[in-house]
Amino acid sequence: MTTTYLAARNLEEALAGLDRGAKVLAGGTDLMVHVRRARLYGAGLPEHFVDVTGIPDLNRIDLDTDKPFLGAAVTFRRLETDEAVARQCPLLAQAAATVGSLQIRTLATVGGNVANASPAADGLTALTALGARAAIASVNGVRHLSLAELITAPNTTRLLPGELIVGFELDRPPEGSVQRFHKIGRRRAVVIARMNLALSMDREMTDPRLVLGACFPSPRRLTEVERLLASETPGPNVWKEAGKMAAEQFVNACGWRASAPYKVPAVANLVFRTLESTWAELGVTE
Amino acid sequence: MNLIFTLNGTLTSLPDVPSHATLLSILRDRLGFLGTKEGCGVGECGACTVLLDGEPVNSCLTAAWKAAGREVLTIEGLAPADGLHPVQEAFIESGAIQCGFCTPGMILSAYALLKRTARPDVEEIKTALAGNLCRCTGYKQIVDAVQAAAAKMDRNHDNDVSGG
Amino acid sequence: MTIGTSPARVGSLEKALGRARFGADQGERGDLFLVCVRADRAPAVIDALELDRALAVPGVVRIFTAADIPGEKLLGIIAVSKDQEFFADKIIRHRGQTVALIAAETESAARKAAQAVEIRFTELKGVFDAEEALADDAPLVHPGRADGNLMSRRVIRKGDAEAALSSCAVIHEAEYTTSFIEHTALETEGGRAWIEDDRVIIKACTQNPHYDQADVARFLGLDPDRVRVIQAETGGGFGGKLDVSVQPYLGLAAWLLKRPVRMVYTREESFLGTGKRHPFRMKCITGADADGHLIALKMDLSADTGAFASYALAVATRAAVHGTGPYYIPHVDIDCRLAYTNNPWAGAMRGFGVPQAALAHEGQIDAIADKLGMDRLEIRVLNALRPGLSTATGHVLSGSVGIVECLERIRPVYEKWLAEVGTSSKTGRGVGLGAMIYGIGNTSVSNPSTAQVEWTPDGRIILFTGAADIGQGSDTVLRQILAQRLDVQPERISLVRADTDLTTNAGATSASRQTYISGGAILEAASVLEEMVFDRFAELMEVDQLDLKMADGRIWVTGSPASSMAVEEIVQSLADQNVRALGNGRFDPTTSALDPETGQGVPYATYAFAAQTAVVNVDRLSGEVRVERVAAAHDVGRAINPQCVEGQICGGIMMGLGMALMEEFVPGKHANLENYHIPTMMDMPDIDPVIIVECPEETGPFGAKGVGEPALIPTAPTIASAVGQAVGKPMRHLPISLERVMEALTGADNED
Repeated sequence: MTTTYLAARNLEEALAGLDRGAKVLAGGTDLMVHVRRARLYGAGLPEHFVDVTGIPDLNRIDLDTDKPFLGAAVTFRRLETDEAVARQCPLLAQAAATVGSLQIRTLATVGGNVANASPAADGLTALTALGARAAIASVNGVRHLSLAELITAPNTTRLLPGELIVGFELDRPPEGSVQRFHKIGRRRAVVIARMNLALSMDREMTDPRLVLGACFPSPRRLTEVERLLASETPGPNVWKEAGKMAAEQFVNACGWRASAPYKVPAVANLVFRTLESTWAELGVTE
Repeated sequence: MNLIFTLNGTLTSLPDVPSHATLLSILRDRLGFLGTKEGCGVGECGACTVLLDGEPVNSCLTAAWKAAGREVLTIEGLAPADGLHPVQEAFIESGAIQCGFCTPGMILSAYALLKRTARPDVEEIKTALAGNLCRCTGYKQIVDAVQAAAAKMDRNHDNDVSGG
Repeated sequence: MTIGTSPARVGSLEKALGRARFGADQGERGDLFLVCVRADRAPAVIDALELDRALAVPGVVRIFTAADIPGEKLLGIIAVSKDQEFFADKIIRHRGQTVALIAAETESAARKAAQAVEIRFTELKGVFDAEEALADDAPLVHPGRADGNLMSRRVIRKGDAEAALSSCAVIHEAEYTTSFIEHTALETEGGRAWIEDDRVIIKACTQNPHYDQADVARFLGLDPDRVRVIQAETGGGFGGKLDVSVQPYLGLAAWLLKRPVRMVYTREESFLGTGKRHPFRMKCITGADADGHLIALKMDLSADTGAFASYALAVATRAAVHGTGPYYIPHVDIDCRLAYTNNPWAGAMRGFGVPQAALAHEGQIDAIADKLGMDRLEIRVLNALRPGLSTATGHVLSGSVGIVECLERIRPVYEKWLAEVGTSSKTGRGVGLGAMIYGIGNTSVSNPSTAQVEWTPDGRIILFTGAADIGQGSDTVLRQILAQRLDVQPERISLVRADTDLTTNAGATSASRQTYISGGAILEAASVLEEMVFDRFAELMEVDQLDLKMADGRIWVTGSPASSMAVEEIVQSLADQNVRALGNGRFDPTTSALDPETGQGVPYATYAFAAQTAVVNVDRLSGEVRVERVAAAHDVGRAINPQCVEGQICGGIMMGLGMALMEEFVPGKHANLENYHIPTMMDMPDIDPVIIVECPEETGPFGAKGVGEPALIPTAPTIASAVGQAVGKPMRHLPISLERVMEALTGADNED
């Protein structure tokens, strides 16, 4: 028996294992699909795993502070049901609830979602809206990367061999912010997003965040739209303009591809509606 | 090192489990627990659902070693000796079983739901069981079964309380 | 009374406990594992198969290719169109076709070896669309074939449609399309084979054990009695397990190696290696008079049957025969052509082309109603078939024709929902309506079922049936039919089922035929048994047979309650004479051949009917469709087991919902359930009410017809109709994807 499986009890143990060339195993919901493919189609099977889900640091949810922190091994099931998440980062709870099935959410971790770097990852869209910076550890120390820095292309990251995402530092949204996550899929559950969107804003438009997923190589903050929201007097015309800008940004980034006849109007509509309903939820009447 | 875990209440020890083995493969191929089914192998259909420390997981995506030191419940472990669990009874009575291939996973998901929510409404049932695909029933009689099981379990619980 | 009640399904206890053993669960330690080597390019000519590296993989026992087939190389479910190469011989006709079969000591060795086989090939020009395939210069899928790529054709001509159209007050012309659909039974194909007394024994999931036996025997060059097929518990079929899948491979390897072997398709192999629902293109012109009477229909149907025929003949005929829907149309001109292409093959799937045709006939009648300003339900009632009217094939109906009742029973629900939701496309909600007709049993061919019933001296009643229960409930329903006939509790009857050694041919579990046809055979068997028992009793008691009656497990003489005798006693006295109390039964519904030129004839002995209605909610900004409610009314003749009937209807509705909204198999794109989506529980609408209409069929057991396929057929048209209402444009192409809804919502308003 040449394979090894290390259920790491602490970070040091995990990093030492990774340094010896083992692969990170978190929930395994992506990795085990690759393992199966390797088994069926004759590729080499990974032999050495470090299971990081038992490391206390990686399971930390610490949101009631000035420096909110979310452990990388926190599962979507916990995000969906955790009281502090619902209170401080509701869009994360909303996003988590749309991920896969209950069975998947029970296993899958937020760190795994980021490391897998799917363009349509619901967790990634939500974390991007929360300004997440990944804390990445290795035997050589810890470095921090924004998600935009970390993810370079679909399913591709700057993670180096031996590195492990420990967790994410999050921005603290302005007081009184309302958050929304919305997903469009081809059926009503257990589905990859055709499009997803995260929004966080307050009445003063202090620091609005709007993120669109499944439309770019990885979920992207629509910074121009955010600037528009922060600068213009809020109202239906601005929501409409925001939707139009978002759709343009999609086309500019991706070109007029086969999905455009659907996505262009859908992006515009989704942005418009989410802004409109979130503004209403903020209790602002014009 | 042996993989040691509790399977349906029995401490189980398995030698030579490779790191990349799935829980599904050791249940079926090593231990002969064939009640757990493989429908897709990629976590989409839920036929392989088992409970890991009481929580439903796709055993096709669960590394076998994740079970170490934990409790695994498969369909074979749900019924009391010589009897049926109320969820199983309700599935039979409600006509919720057609071909039966999704049934073990479906019943375990339903059982896990009823353990945390005694009287789930239809939306809660749908949310909890959305990861268990069924191609035969159209789900209606399954929802009926879960509700009937909830009533049965509630009654049994009341009986326990009055008896204790 | 057993008929009309819902005793627990046979086998559900074992299934609930996880003890049922499906095809994939077959196997013993030491079995060899089989894996197909499948081509990933097609069409192509095989230049060479390099097997050396694969043979060198430790654990590999043997690799089979086309050259190893001892018997007939071509298999197929329909006798006159056997064309399927279970190993590509020289030409690979579709992606995923098997070129070799690995037998190895372990699954992982077999899979490694399968990867190590190198197929050297030269690509050919292929054709991947039915209409292109039918063009004169199209590359031929089966070169040298007399009819080129035209696999099958059915023409229906009644009256003079062309002339009648010119006199119609209103005409509607439109085109409809549907997609390839994967059955997605939850269980993938699997089974085991071994050798016993120089015979091949195969235990696998199947809908069709006696056909499997015949074709595997042909494949192996053996007499059929040297092959035994036992149906393993079968995890759904929906038509996908009618053709053989793993059986020929299992039989070949076991027979040539003289060792037990097993095989289970992965989901990916199941996608590649089994048939699909035919995608159809349907061009229709319908004409009506000013009062809304349908006068004439012209339909030009074409469908892609992929590389092999499978059930193409049946699908072509079914789609054409059902082209008018459940409506009387005096002038009909339907031409249905199925073309070979280099796509994966299409075969039987729940409804055999009728669900596709229903999209067209329901779309047409909606459009005619709209053009005339008529109510969509009224126009259906006005045109609905009634006893005395003829179908497209000139079959003058009599007896059980429940379409008007289905429509009338659905009417209050439909009208209530219409009142609530309205017909305005502003709200994003819509109410749809759909109806259907479906002929029970195979089309215009003899398709008998046989069965035996035995009463033993120790009091057991045994039903021998070759019918494969694949989850739909035939075990339960057939046992109820027998229990009712013999006046015993169903639990008293034990079943011997779907084993070619122990049961006789009941035909396929398809065409919604088992309740009606096998039910009929069982009634006949019971009558024969009863007559034997009556004869003996009459002899023993010196009474007239005509006065006898069976009840409570005893034979009674009318008017003389004292002179009765337990059936066991009579059976014992037969046994004393070395006579087994065993009745043989056979039932074959009366049909006639369809005229090859006009398609006129009596294709079926009886038809099922249904009407459904649905409410949908369309998100006008995102294009998402949610089906909120569905109601269904189905004429099943007689519901032997209402719970099973309801289960079939709800299951059919969800499969129809999948067909309507999300299911589309694109060859090369969809390989597993990650991106091929079937409905989840979250997609389920409120299905209520489910109305069972009972217009008894006099040739059916206790009046029963069938419901398996009818359950699905009206759903997709109903949902399409509802979405059309919600977006203000007819939806004529399935699936109604996000993109299609968005297109309807944003596109130029130039349609219909």
